Amino acid sequence: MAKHDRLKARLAIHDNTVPNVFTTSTESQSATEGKVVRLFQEFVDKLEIQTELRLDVRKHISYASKGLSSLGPAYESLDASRPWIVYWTTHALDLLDVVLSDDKKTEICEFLELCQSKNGGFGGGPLQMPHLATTYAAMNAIAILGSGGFERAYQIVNVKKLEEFLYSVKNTDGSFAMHVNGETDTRAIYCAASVATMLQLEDKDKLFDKTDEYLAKCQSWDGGFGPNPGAESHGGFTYTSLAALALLNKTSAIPNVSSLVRWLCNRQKSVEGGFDGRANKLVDSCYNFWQGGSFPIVHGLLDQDHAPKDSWLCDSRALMDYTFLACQVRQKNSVAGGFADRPGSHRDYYHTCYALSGVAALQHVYNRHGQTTICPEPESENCLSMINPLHNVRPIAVIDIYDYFSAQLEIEKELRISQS
Amino acid sequence: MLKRHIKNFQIWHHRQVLCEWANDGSREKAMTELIFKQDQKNYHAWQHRQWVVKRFGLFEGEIDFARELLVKDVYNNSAWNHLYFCIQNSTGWSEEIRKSELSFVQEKLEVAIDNECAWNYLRAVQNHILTANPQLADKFVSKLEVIEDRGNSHKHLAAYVADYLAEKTERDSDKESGTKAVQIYTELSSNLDPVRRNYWNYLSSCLSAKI
Repeated sequence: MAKHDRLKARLAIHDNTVPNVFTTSTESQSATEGKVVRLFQEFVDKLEIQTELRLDVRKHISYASKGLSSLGPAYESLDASRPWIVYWTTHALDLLDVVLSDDKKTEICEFLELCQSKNGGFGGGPLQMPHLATTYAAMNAIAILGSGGFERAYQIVNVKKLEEFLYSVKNTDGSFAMHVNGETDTRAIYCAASVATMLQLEDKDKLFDKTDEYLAKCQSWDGGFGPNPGAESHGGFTYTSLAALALLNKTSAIPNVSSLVRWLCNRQKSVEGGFDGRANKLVDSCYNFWQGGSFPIVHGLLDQDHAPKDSWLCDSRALMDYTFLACQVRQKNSVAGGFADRPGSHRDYYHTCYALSGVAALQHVYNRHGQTTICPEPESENCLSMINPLHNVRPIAVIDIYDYFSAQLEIEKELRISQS
Repeated sequence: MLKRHIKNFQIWHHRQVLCEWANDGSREKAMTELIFKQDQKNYHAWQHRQWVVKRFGLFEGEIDFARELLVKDVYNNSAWNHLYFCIQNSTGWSEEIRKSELSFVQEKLEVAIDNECAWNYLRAVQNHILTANPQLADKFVSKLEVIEDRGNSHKHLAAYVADYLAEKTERDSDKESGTKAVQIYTELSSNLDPVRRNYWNYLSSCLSAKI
């Protein structure tokens, strides 16, 4: 197969396909598809000059680094989400192989410490009340910073208090609220499960009693998952439900695996190659991860005799075509770099993190047969580091943090025994 | 405040709490409709409407509301979900209701055969057992045979037919259906829906082992 034939085939599908009926849905889809197709066509027309996709690594590093230092007035609305910005930027840098200095790491750790609540957990900023999402983000940032021996990062966490916080937001039906008196949905369950697993909490079964039952009820009639039973199926909630079940070793609770797989596979756009969040909605690069990241997780639930050995069930190359050709933001003034949801939109750290995370998740295929890398030019800058799809940090960061906290647990156990 | 921040989780939750305290959901439907004027698919508004309808037992008119929205835009997944949700929580899925919803979704497929939502709904109404309605499925088999379309508008039809034939193969040890299904999966993989080639190849491989 000649290079980019599949991209050309997707362009042909665009040319030959017309919606059966014209509605507001088809109008917005056509507009987006048109913009993406124009960018694809530009690339195809200039293949003699540039033969391959290009990831503007240096620009993205500049953009993400800026996020770690100071933030402009546009981010005021995210004042309650500062651990998120720390995670989005440090994770993006990590995927691009940037190593932070110990000084920088210390600075970040000091900030995260200020976000830790005296009641346990992390809030959106200093003196804010703890919230499961910001706790998840803080823990992921800590995992990234602490990996490779920088234990200062792990030492931030008040494990006992964090555990208390998790119990304080647990509901009797197995679900979790995002914060005390906050909304309940599967994001909260996922955040709790991710954090509890990183901390290697002893009584995970007790903390997550009935959680698998609740998650099972969140599977919708079309195979995807919603935030709560009965809600519309959606990428973010499908990922969080699936990842939570996997973290709890309870994927057997999924009521209908084949309709989940069908729904997931249908989320990849025929022409654009990226993913949408729900049926008949627009492509959005953040779903690179929220949809794309589910494929490595669900792969283990397929019939292993027939599941592909050197690819996931979706089309990794098509995702890269979309991300590299249509989502990298080019700017004339100020710092270029970063990713937007789709052509014409503004960039932000959230999309930068998740556009890259999705590509990272789908570039590397691993199973008991070995590992395959799907990349325009393996060993090149286009190739990102691997991630652990359950937490969305590097596999080594996961191993290191698990090791640290399980060792701490052992130390604590020995102390208890010697004291009794 | 809600109108200016229609995608903020906290504000919606706060509104929900206020309804609880006041034990009053009477104004909520109208409020969500204001939001729908701007954005037919606003996720928070739909969640809120579902919560209000269930919490205060305000199901009356909801099924009709969902159907009206599907007349306006048959591709509106939120409306399809609302329809399913309302039936589930009011009349429930009796045999009669399944029959009438089967007619409803067929009508909608006549309007637009390229609508993933309608195909999903069709599967759900049959409890994901496609051989439950063989006459209906055979109609689709025939339709697929005569369709002339250079694009991929009929990819969901092809997928449904292939899945139905695959199910038939397993249930009846029907080799002919199996061979036909594999042909369709192959066509999907190579021409009709290549972005999902790994998925079509997977289904084909699973089925081939059973023929």
